[in-house]
Amino acid sequence: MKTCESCSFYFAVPADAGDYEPGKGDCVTEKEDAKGKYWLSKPTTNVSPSCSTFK
Amino acid sequence: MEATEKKTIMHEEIGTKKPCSSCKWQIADPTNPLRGQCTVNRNAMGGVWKRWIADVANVTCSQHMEGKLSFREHV
Amino acid sequence: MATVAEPVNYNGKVINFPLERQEENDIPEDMLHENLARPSTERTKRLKARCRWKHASAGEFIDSEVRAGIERMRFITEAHKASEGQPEVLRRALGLANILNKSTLVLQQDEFIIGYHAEDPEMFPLYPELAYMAVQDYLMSDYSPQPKEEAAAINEYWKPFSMQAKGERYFSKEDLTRMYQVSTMEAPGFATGYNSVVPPYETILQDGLLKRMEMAKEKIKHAQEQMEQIPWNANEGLEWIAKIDVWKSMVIADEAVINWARRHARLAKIVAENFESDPARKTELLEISEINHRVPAEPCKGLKDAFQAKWYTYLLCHAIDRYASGYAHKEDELLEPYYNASVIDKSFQPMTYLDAVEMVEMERLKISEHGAGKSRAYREIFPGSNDLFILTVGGTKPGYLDACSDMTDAILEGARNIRTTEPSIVFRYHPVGRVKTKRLVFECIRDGLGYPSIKHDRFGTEQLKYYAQFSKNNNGATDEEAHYWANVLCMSAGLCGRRKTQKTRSEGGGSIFPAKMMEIVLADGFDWSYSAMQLGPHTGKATDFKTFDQLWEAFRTQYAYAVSTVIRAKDVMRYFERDFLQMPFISSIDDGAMELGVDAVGLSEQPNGWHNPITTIVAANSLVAIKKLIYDEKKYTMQQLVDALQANWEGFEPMRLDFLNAPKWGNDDDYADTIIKDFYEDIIGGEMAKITNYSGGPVYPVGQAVGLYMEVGSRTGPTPDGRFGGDAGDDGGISPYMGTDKKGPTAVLKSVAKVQKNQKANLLNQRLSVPIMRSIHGFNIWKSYMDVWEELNIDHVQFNVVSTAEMKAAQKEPEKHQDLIVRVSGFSARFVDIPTYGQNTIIARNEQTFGAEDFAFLNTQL
Repeated sequence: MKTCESCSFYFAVPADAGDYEPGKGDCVTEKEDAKGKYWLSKPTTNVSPSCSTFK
Repeated sequence: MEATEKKTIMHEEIGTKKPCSSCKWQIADPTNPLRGQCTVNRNAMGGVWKRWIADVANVTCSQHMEGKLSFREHV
Repeated sequence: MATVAEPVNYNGKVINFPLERQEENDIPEDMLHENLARPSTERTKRLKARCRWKHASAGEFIDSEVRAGIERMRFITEAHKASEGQPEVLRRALGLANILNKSTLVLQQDEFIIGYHAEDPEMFPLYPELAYMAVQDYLMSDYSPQPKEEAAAINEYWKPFSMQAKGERYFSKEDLTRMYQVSTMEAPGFATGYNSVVPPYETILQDGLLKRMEMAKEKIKHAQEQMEQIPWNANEGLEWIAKIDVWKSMVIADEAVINWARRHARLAKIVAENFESDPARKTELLEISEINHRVPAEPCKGLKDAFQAKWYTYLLCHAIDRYASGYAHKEDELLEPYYNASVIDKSFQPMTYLDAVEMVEMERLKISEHGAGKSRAYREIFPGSNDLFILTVGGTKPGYLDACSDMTDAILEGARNIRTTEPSIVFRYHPVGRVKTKRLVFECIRDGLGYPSIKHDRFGTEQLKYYAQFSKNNNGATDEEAHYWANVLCMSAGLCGRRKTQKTRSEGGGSIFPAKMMEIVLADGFDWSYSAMQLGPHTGKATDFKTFDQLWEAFRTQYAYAVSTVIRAKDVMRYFERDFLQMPFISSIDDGAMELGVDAVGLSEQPNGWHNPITTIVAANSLVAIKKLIYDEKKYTMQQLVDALQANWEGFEPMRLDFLNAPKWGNDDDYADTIIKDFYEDIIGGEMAKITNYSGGPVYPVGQAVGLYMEVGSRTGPTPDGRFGGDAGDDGGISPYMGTDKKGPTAVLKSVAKVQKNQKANLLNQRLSVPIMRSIHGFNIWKSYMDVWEELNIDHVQFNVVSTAEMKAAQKEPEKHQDLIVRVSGFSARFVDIPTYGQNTIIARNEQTFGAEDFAFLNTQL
């Protein structure tokens, strides 16, 4: 099963961050609608099952 | 005569197929969404003289019209 | 083509009024507003073009993409379930922390100030812990959070814990039904969730949260040491328990806020390094990342820091921890030190004045995108805008020294340039205020923005000193602190600064509606025209009132009942807020809460009670007409009047015209003004002043109609002032009824100045002539008007400068008039986003022009 860890949108939380936990990461994706581009960041973990935006 | 008059004004009719909740002249009460406001009364200057609806699911009248008005037609 | 005002003979001279800007001669009168925007940079031009406005009208959102998010309600519920058994104040802190730790972050193209309060920039959060009916309304709407079943389950979960359930227990079903209708009384906060707050921005900018956390930890350490003293003394020792919990809650909240801001810093860096191809934007994103890592954890050092830290604080206090309307702060004085560092000294984040103006424009656009998850009542009453976002500038420092600065000017210039409906601005007017700044205030008004609204600087300052005497802990505003104030929402002065600011709406806010009371006082308290129920106390049949005084006293009884009921509702809400709706983040940045170990929502240091009578003039003009035609001249009987009103004047037109043509407020007419002055001072203010609220002080009226003059008008039957059932009420707080002020702008000033006793703040809403204001004499005329207004001790005034031709053109072709802004009352709105009913009320206002007599009274130098 693919997990977030192998997704290009997964960015591990640095060890010196206040919210650091082993295996914790940010899922950052780019969106675009009629009013322009924006980026979303959701907390995730490296072992979370991948979602439909997996890349 | 009395019965006709009763139907033209807003009245309770439990289980009505034409409840205020589906009528285009109705918008929700400002606080309790189970109550409503009827906006069908309009004066010559475009003023909207509302009536309170105690139960939007079980009140109806002869002016019932399915649909939803634009915000421009409400207050 | 533009219209030019007719010449006036004044002081033996013919005064002509050529337009100040010659090029405007070629702009059609009905397209003026579309030609006034001038964003200062390409970036703000783009940001405005793609702005995600979230205007609401008649309870609906204008943009079909706008909808409720589910994340906030999901995460606060999750935390509430997980924290069962812990002290309530800690549960509140853990709830905020869970939202901040788990929420989706948003970063948009082109923006420099970053951060949003929902999982998508088109969304807004909901608050099931406040009012279950408000959430239920969303669940039944097109804007329901998804999945709807989960949202419904969350709302069901919160019902017994909600503020609404707690507050409702202490009111009869009868009183609740009356309040919920919003016809004589505004619904209580526990049933709507509506709120307002003045965050102590100063501490977060000056100290940073790391320092605040250290302060709280020191307090905990000290408290624990005190508890361990030998011999044990329960009288003192047990006091520390609640305090320790409050300080602990601050630490939890602040740590979560810092981590949340730093998640934003990470996001900006990730986008710069992985998504962005433009090198300039990449550099900027890395700068954004650096700023967001540093603030609000650390003190701000430059203007960019200050704008960002302020924005986070705003989101937390107004949208994430709890919903609160408003944007209350004294922005120019708050930002001035950082402006000086960046623009004058260039010691940190060096920039030019124009760069500062761009920052202001970007902040205004962020506010314009802000979505408020407010209840339906409040989606109705600010038509054509997002919410009541209002900041304050100008005024005086201690000793009545001018507080205007270049930061004030940058704020005003940015507002004039970008032209957004929000945030609105309050300018505190004082004779010492510098002319350069007043000129910019004028330019915003002249360009039709409807803001700044003008508050009387000395009036507001002295009022805060007066209220300080009622402080429960003898720590109200000092004379120095009293100079540092902003409008809390749209009408009342409230302290700003590191402590003593208003934390919840129970202190001030909320409305009552004299027009509807006037209607029911003629029917023994029964509402025959809207709800068909007994809406107030039985005060007797109108036909039994043998004297005018009997009618007067019956009205007093209705009013006293309503005002006591609504203020009781606010204080009952405060009682439960104190115990179940603590705000640990705000507490952590309030010096009082920090010092005393008391949550900021419960702590009251500076009383500032007020409540808002709206549609007072409909009631007052009605009393004048009744006194004249029924009791003095005996031309009609009360029975005839009751019959005419029940028929909505149909078949009684000559009689209606008599009532309509009876003396009206705003014409310096002694007959009308004597009665109306008494009405304001004896009943409207006098009855309110008898009340003592949560903070131990009296409550005073602040009349300001917002959009409620439309809502209440539509729920009010015909009234004895000649008004038809459903017609709007009066649009100010002390303004003449639309179209009835027929003797010019200075007659209005003379009438309004007569009301002084037992008042806090009443709005005069005026519409001024476009050709006069845009002429070469516009500023001199406006300034002479303002100077006289100030001398007459009138508290609050705001202006529309917009032509009827342009408003009518916009009604025909709304798509061509997206930049047409009007002042409704207390807020500005995009004209085409207002329902036709409301648009017509603005068109119907008298466009005041100025004649020689007015110039003479104002001593205008032309």
